[in-house]
Amino acid sequence: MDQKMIVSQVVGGSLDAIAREMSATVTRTARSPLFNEAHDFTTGIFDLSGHKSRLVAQAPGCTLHLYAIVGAVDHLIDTFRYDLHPGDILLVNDPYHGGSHSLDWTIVMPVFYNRKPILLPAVRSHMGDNGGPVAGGYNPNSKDIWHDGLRIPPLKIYERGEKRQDVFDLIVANNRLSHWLEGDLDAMIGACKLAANRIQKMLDQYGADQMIGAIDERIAYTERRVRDEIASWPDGTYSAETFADHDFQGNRDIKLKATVTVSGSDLHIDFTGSSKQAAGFINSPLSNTTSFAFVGISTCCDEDIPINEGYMNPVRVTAPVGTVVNPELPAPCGHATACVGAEIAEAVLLAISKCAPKRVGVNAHKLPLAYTNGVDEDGNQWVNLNFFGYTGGAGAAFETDGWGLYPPVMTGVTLPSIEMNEIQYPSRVLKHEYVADFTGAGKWRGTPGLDVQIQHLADSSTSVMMAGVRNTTKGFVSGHDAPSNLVIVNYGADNQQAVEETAFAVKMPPGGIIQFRRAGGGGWGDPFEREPELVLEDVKNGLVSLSAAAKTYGVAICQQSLTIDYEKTEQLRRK
Amino acid sequence: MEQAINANHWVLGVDVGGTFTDLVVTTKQGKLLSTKTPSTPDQSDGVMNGINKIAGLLGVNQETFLADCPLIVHGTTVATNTLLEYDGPKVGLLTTEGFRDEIEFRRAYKESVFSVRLQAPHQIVPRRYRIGIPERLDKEGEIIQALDEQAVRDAVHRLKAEGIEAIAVCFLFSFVNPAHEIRVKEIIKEEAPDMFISLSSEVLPQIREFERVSTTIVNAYTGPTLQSYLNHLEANLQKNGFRGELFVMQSNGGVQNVEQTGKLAAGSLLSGPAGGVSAGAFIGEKSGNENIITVDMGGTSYDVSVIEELQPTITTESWISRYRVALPMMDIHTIGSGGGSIAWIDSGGALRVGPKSAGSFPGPACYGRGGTEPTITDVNVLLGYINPDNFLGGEMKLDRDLAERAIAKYIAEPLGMTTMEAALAISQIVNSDMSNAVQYVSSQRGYDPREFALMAVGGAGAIHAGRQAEDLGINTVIVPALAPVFSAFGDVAANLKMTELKTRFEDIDTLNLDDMNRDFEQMEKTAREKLGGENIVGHFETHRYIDMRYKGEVHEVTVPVRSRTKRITRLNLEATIKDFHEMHERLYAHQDAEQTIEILNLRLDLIGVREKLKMADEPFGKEDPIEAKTDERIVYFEPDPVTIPVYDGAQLTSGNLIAGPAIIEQWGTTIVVYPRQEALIDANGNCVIEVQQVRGGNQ
Repeated sequence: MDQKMIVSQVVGGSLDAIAREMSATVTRTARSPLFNEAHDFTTGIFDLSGHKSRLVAQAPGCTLHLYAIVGAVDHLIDTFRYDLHPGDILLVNDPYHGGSHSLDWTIVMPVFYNRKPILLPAVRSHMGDNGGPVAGGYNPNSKDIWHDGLRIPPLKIYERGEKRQDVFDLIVANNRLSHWLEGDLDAMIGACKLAANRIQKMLDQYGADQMIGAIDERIAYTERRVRDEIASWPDGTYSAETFADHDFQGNRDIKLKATVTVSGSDLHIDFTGSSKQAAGFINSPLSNTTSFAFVGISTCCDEDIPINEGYMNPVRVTAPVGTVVNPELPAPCGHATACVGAEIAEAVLLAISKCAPKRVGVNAHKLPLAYTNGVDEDGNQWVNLNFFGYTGGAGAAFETDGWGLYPPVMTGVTLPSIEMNEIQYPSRVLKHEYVADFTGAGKWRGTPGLDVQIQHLADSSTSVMMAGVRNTTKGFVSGHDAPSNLVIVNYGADNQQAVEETAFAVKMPPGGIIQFRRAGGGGWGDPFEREPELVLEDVKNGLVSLSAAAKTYGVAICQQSLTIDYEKTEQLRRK
Repeated sequence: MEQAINANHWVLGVDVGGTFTDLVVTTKQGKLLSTKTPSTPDQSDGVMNGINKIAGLLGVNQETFLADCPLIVHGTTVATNTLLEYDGPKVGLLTTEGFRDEIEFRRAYKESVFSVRLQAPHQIVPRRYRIGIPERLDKEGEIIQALDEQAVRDAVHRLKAEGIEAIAVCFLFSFVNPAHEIRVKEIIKEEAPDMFISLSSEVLPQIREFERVSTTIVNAYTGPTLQSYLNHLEANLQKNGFRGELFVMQSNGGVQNVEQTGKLAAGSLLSGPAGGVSAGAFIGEKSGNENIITVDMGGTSYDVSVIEELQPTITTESWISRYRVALPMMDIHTIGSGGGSIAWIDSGGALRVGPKSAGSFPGPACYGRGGTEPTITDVNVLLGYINPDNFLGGEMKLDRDLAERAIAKYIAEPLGMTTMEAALAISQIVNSDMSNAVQYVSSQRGYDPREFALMAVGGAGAIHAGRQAEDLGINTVIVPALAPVFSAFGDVAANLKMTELKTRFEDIDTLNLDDMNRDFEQMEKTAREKLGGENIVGHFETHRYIDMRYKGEVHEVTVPVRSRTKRITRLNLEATIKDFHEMHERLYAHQDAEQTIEILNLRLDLIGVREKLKMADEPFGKEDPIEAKTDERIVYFEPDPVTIPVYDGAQLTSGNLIAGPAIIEQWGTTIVVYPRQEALIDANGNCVIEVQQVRGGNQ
């Protein structure tokens, strides 16, 4: 260690700070609520020192994008590697060119020094719409990639500083939310330009060689720390499988299998054994698969490790072509960031839980998605995504009860306000509360499940895409699985309908209610090992019933005094 | 005789911090006196000790001083500490049935996006003390389900039996129609007369239920403690002869009386730092710098805030101690880099600084109180920036050998560097962390730091500011003469301020102007009743604002309304709309003249303007500072040492020009003037450093 290491830390810290600044700029300047409220994007900086691009720095927005941006930039660079000029700005969204689902667009801008492209700021974001048959992009009837929406292969939207207006027009013409789209693209481009200015200044100060040297050090540092983590896991091969309920086309129990091999500080994740690619839109392109694998691994490592290429160096991912984790054209992929993304991370974490149980936490998001749309008095279309209904499901980890709503994988996405929702839509939330005994029990339990009732005050129709019913979020290390999600359309009416897999455009009269029983997360560890005092606390707080305390947790609590009967507890737990 | 001359002449500012209680007194002649005394567990003891000390400096006894003091402005951390240490009373919540968990949901927000091991925040109100009450209003404030009064009575009985001391009440849409909350207050008063009550419609009558319930709960949690502290302090002052008014600095930079402060404790959570930022604006104006970034580096933290055109930036986005407090407050960004921050080597071999701090006990290694790990203060001692024999004016001796040993053992040896190289590396890391924080704060708010002056306060701020200015491309560093007691100085200078808010959700096209004017009129009346301060206020100013946004947006812009009368005319409104488009462009980089504009809230600030603080300007004397030169010493800006002059800040006079590199020592602060920088002592004793920007070659 010497001065080089210090420079590396200063340079690395500044690049991380620039990525965060980019993120703040996107939040501040974008138009669509997906950016400025849901923060469904990520920003990063890459370099181009060797033959391929390397992730150098990153600011987390939505972790789903975390590594998917890597695949997208790789493809952009592969395409334009020998055709990059100052002022160029590149764009891609195609799942078959390093994307995840086609709603996620990636923008990259090369920064030059001595006429060579050195660093590349990039933004990847979930756009409000992407053309195709369904507004907002989630089309459960999708049978091929073209049903998902517009495919944008790697292209230049700015060439040598000139906007390619024809390309822009083509893209905007294929989008329902064109008034937002242009603003959102400007925000993404603006963030890249801000970063380019800062990076240029750093290049002037340090020169390319010193910068690259500092980045090498930074990447080596991350790699060292990730390797230290992996090396602390016992060598061996650990395998786990989990299932997605269905593919929205009638095929059930889609298998995700992860075999994790630890040898020294190397990690191999092999998805061989996973189901063939599905007919429905749950297929996960390689970028998305890798991304969810790394989402899993990241949560096992210390969170102060800078995220960069070094994270990936110790890890090798194998995903057989033609399977649900690496589909071939023209398999549809529109739902991949939810399903089978959740199951990919779950399979990887379940496998790791067999060798490093204290490092894993339950981190699957199995979302029972539902959107309701109608036409307002002025004849304008409205779409309400019913966020309140499925935002939840945080799982447990070692020494940590699940809490709040989303698990970390979805954190960064903000829930709208109930009052604002009622003002902006003909919609009223009637109930939004935890319910008792509706989460995975464990030595540490999942966040409690929810009872949510949303009333739509105008004529409307609702589509539901269920998940987590037959195959619920798994508990770890003898922790219990989460219970099943339940969604009932026209709740309380004669024609109420519990959705099994998919409901498409179910009509609801004014005042129609959707009920969501959104399950909590999976538990960690045997519930019989939970501190009885914590169980009592949950009982007092109405999160665990007395009977569940006895039956699930083996804790006897006196109903009158609300105190623990330790003797009886010991008896219960002996069984 | 003396008494007669000085009658009603002092105004006292007292700021209680973690380590010291700072006092500043002004006289009508524009003289300023300041002192410090150790803070005490009961903050009022420290305040009284300080008053004794400062009275002594004025040559009068405590009684005389207090009798002649019409106004004391106080910055206190009582509410803040209650929230940070979670040692407030037991609190209950009454809320709309079906919605009692919003406080735990936090709109799905978590502080970390990776960590599955992040623990839940401490629940101020455990779920069993959150009781749903049957009632519901719609968005127009119409009652769609009547308030179940019996359920309220039952709930209050239950909470009382559980030993609850404060109840927060937050119903959906109570900001449109507070009738149900008001009725609940009446019932609580009947059933539990001693209960502290915090209504969301009084604390924050504003849309968004999570922000409102969180702020209301925080208010219920901090209110009782703050109220009893202030009553106790006021009684104590009065017992000793004080007949003036006691005011408290609020998070928004204005001051309010004891009664109002006790009712809205959540409004004084930044009472201390807000004083410092106010002072920054005041000194900015005096020194001719309208745009300032203030950085306050204390023992454990580094606070950054932005002042634009002499107005401190205000935010409603704050989280304090993991709770959302949505009241308007000074926008102060904090990172964990302070003098006590510990340098360490992580498992990957990287050199890191903070966030762990040695605090004031045991403190940095050089304090000699048993601390062994190296801190920023140790680094600054070793590099020669801090004089170990003259720390706090020599009140405390530091041990350079212990500093050296700590750095050698924990950093230099494991990294195979010399101790000096290690110290410089730590310094470089912490400077870079702090500069990145300033850069981030600026970008997030749409500013370029190069257009600002950097104002450094706090014990260690002025050691590092010169370097940060170079990192950030800032040309001017200001170290105020009163930097060591800056918040207390801000207390003395501040105006009274009362903020009122009313939610009016409507399109601007269909707005009824008369109706809005009536709202503003009522808000002004309410503010005036609450503000008080007739005896100390020269005149009142009213500032009106409208929160606006383009339809469909999730963020709103607070736009000032300029009107020449009490009424807003159609023309005024049109000008406001024009301003909105422009502010939107600056903040969010786009505007859209075609888009419908929505109004969210009306805001009104009533300012009780006090007589402007006078600061006598000293004429410029000699440029040569030689008479203040006390020493020369060896310092390290790089591994090769240089010998540089040391000046006594107390002996420097207006007009002195000090060429860097040099060190200026003054009580409570050390200023490092780096090579290629020049420091000028201005007419008010502030040290203004000009920074020459250099390019290339990181050292």
